Amino acid sequence: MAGLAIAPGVTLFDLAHGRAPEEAASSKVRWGMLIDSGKCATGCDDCVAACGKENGFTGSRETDSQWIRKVEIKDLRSGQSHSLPMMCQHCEHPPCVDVCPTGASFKRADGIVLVDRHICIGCRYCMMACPYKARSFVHEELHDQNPDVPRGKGCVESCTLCVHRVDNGGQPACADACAGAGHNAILFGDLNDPSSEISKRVATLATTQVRADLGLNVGVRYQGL
Amino acid sequence: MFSLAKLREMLTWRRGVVLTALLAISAVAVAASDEFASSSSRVAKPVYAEGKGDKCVKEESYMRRHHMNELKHHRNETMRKGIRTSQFSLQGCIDCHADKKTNSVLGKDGFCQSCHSYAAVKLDCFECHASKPKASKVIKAMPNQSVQTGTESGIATELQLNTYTETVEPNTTSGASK
Ligand code: SF4
Ligand code: SF4
Repeated sequence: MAGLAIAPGVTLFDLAHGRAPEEAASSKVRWGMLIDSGKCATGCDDCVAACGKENGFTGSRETDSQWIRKVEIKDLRSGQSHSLPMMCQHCEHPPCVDVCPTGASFKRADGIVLVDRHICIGCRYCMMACPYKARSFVHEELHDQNPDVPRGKGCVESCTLCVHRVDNGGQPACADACAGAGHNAILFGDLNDPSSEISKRVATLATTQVRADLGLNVGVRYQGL
Repeated sequence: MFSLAKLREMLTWRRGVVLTALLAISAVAVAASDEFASSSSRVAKPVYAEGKGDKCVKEESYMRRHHMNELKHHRNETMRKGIRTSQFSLQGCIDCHADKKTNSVLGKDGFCQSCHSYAAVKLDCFECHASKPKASKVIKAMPNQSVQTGTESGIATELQLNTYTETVEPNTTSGASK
């Protein structure tokens, strides 16, 4: 993906991060997202729908996984309300990884927290450890998975930051969908690269980590909360 | 003058040639009978449908014995480090070996399942991994051969084309990506 050129040399978003296939993910990069709750529209769930379509769940079954959900919050005193998507925050110090007895939960060098389903025994300890309720257990047999997103019964899973897209130079499906709907509330990028749009915004705007008191240094930050 | 030693040497050489020739002939015979289950063979051989690809990423003999190790090594590299080379990628195997009719490596005649049933080795890759090639891949079919493709709703469409693009499972959310 070459980014969307709006003028020669100017791109709408910087996505020149495609690695060579044989190159391993590097700790020089830290993938993250910045979610602008001011732009996130109440009632819109395009990101949630896009996630389900990309990763193979629709939410139609009671036991379907939920990698991303919309949260509406309201300050009862002032009446001010916010709408925002919530998903795995890709913690720098992930509690899910700390508690995993098998080593299936792990953090990739570039900060993406994943479950290695080959190793996961489905004990669900990580689900209890996650402060953001970001993980789901797959209760039923699955069919017709996306070849890029293998998923199956008996494992715990959560947002992968669409690692299969990111490795090919793309961005998560939710960010694409949000931009496609014209809201542009989800900005994806490299928090370690000072010239990236996300780093510039994080450096200049008031952004917050949800439950920053836990000291997990999450990769998903919110603006306007 | 012929020395006895020289004569013996010649004889063994000749015997060697004859033996080699015999071995070669029997090898060809074995190979021929090995191809597919023939009614004359005492033990049934796994029969699998022809795939789409023409040449494997490594010699077949090597792959038969070591594909599981290569796949396991590759899965760890991909999962843990994000290395996505194509040589031993399971997706690559499926792209080439999917049955032209069913578009899958599973099923009675499927490339993976037929042999695994024969060898009685449990095949659990496909509890999570898709057994069909990625929908957006353009697959070359034989000229003038009708190809059946199933869509998600189970409707089969017949195509009389040299190339066709699968219309199963749209996986991308908008045209902007990839
Ligand atoms: S948000 Fe939850 S699942 Fe994601 S890295 Fe943190 S603890 Fe793990
Ligand atoms: S459910 Fe799987 S990933 Fe989670 S703690 Fe247990 S083994 Fe680890």
